[in-house]
Amino acid sequence: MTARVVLEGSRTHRVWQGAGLLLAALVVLLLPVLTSDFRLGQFSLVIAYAVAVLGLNLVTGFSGQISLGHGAFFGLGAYTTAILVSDHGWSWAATVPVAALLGLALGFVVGVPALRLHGLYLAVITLAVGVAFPVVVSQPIGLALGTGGVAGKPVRIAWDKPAWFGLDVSDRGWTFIVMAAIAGALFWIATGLVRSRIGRSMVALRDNGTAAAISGIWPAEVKTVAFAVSALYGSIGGSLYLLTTPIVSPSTVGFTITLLFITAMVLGGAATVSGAWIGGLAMVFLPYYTAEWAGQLPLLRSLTDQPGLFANVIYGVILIVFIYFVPSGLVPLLTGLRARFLVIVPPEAAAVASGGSATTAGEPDGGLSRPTPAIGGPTDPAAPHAGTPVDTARRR
Amino acid sequence: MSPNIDNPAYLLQLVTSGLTNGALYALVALAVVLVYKTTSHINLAQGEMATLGAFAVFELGRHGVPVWIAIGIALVLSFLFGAGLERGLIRPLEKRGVFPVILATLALFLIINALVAIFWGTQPVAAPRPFPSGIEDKFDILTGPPPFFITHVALGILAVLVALLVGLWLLLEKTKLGLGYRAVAANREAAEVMGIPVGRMFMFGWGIAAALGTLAAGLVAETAGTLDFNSMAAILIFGLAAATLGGFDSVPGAAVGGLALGLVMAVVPGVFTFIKGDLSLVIALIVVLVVLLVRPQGLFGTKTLERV
Amino acid sequence: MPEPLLQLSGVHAAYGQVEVLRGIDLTVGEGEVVVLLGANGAGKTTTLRAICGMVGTRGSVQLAGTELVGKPTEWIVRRGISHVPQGRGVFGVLDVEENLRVGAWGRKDGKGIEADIERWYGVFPRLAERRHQLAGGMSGGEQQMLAIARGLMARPRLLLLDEPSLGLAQIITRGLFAQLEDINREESVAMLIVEQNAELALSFAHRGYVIESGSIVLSGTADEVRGNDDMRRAYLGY
Repeated sequence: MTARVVLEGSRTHRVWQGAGLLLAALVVLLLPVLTSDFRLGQFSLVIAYAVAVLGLNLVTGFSGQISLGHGAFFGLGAYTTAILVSDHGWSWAATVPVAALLGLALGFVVGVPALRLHGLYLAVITLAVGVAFPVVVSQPIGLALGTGGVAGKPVRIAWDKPAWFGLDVSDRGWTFIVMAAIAGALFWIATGLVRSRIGRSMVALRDNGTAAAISGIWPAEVKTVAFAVSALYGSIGGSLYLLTTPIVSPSTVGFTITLLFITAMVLGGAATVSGAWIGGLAMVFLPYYTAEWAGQLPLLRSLTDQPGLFANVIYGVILIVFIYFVPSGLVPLLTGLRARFLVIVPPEAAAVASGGSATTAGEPDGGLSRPTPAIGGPTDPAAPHAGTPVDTARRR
Repeated sequence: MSPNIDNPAYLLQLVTSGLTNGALYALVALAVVLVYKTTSHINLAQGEMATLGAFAVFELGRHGVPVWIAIGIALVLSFLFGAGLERGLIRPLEKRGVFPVILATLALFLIINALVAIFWGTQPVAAPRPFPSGIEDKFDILTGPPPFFITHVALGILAVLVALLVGLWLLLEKTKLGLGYRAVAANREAAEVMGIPVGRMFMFGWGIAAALGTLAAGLVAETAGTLDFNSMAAILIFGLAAATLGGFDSVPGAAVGGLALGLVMAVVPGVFTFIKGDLSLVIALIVVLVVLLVRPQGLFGTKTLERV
Repeated sequence: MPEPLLQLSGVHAAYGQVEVLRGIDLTVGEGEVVVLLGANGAGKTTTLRAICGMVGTRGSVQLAGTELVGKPTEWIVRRGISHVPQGRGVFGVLDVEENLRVGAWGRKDGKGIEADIERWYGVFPRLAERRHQLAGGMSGGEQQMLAIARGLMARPRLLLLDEPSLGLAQIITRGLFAQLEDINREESVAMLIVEQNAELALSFAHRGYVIESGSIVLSGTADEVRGNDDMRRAYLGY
């Protein structure tokens, strides 16, 4: 079977894109009509997580910087919204810009050391931020800010479906649609960002810092922006989370959720935008079905009363399996599958292979889903211990 | 300021408890450093592996094995476990750089943490107690008031740290194995050309680190009186902070860094009593930040980390 | 002709996609000193690395009839090859004596090791003076002596020397080569030397090879190589 070749930005391409968007919109509108409020709650949670995971993709996948404190950004957004809504009577929508700005600020602060520090030091700092955050909110200093301490901060956000909305959906369904619209906008912005000059600089910096610096990319600027934007997405993800769950507590925003974000990112594909959706789906449905499945097996049920723990084991196993066998994640696999039917060629590539056959077509996604050599980019061959590629490959 | 600021017994008590906690951080920092020196990786599952080791001691104790023998068995098992993980899980990722290895240790973190909680529950258990830890098991030094005393547990922990440092020093400086380990740490490729089995040195580092971690977790449980699946999460951060302070590739640095961090974390809240609550993690974070921004190689470290 | 100690036939080597050696044939006899000349990037260092299994290699490398291609470095060097890498690669944070002991890693004869340490101290008295100093703090010439002594501690049958004169003053280089000549004569250690200083190297080598873009373009006795016109223009400058 021959695949269709479509030039990126051409009219056909736009038609395909339009069709895809339409389909997505249709799914969003139909889900509330067709499924239960319980399922809608789950899908809403998928949205909140996907937005947060997307933030991690931006800093780790695209700019190659290890961030082990994403749970703190998520928590910052959630707590900001919870406190402003519960204690100060703000509307949810009004809290989001505040949460976003605070996230941006914290991300910037964490990103500043990144200007001077690399790799493992950065990992240690972000790890410390991620582990310290839930402790701070449960301490007196957090209580003074209204975090509710160890018990957590309850918050009630209930939306009524407005009268002008024609579809017959529940209030829960209306919330889901609004969340989907917000997430759609955030994903659209992220796509634009990674295709912009700064996004390409991020990737260039990740793949070869020295070469990027020579070609006029200012590493400091790019790294800090990546961290700040990543934190902003994490923070908004936290605000969205409160539309699905009426409480945020230190245990929600602990180091474990950071680990789950990371697993979700790797699962979908670190250097992809759309992979965050797969990650979000996994974060919601994997524990749900694991718990159900473990509850049915008497052997497992007798081991613990917390079947959620089995999900964590599975997360860990998935992470290892993906690092070993699918290091660039599921999305590149899926785009590879799509390329058997439809190949989208960026204009530059088309110019090279004019009239090119389907098999030699350029990268789908305009090179965004380029098969990443390793998660977070390849190692610098000149790195002190990495040795030369062949050399290390030969070792033992 | 604390009203007891000019009371020597109060200050001495702060210093002793700081050093005792610091010794625990030093043990974890040593584990981190021993892995880092040869492989240039940080094992973020170090704390969870340690918790698993401490639970092994607990389990053996529950089956009637005397506590010191149980610790010995657990140390050997931990060594084998650590070395095996390096060979089986980490080594194949070695050539792919730092990030996949970090991810693999995070995966280990998740798996071990959850498995410990599944098998031993999420509720704390009574810790194995290698040292006499009754209320009267202490040496009174100043009768006070306020009194100043050193508990047998604190003394035991400091003694373990000293014994370990001496043992490590002998192992690394006076044995052929240690020479090979240091050669690999100094220049991996040159060591390979000398015929040193580099891979085995990695396994050795991971194994020793795992055993040290188990010891640390056992002592952490001893001081806390209880052991649970999250016992080591915060301690790992303190250990990392101590390793950062001392320098990631320095064994004496890890010891000094751990003790110094313990002192800072005991003395600062003890003197500035307006600091409410337990903000030790925040203090550790600030220490790490200041060190990294002022002197990234730490107090005793040599190489600076340049890998992403 | 007896079987050569080292025989490379059709050796190809590549770093990733970049092929650096394109079919090298080279031999070193027992006790023979062979020099490998060539421009920067011609593949001299890679040839030594290929022998030690430090780069992806095809073809055949045999040490006294034993195939080395595909074997791990640590296995190869235990077969009697010592590699003194470019830039010396001494262990800076170990002291001089520890460096020498690392060189003897594969040996089990404790007394022999002690005797050899004293012997090389005799040959390189500078090292004896600094035996408990960290190698990283020594001068370039001293580090080079240490690297060579360390290489000899393994009691190799074949010593691979990569640019031993690099960064050394002329007079030190001459002293070093004089010592290498003594070692070769007294110990009959075979040597394969990569060297920029062609004149000096040819003056004590038995045979020479010239490598260009990954292929051997000229080989012969030291005198033949020195006598070749192209060779003279390219490397000797007259």
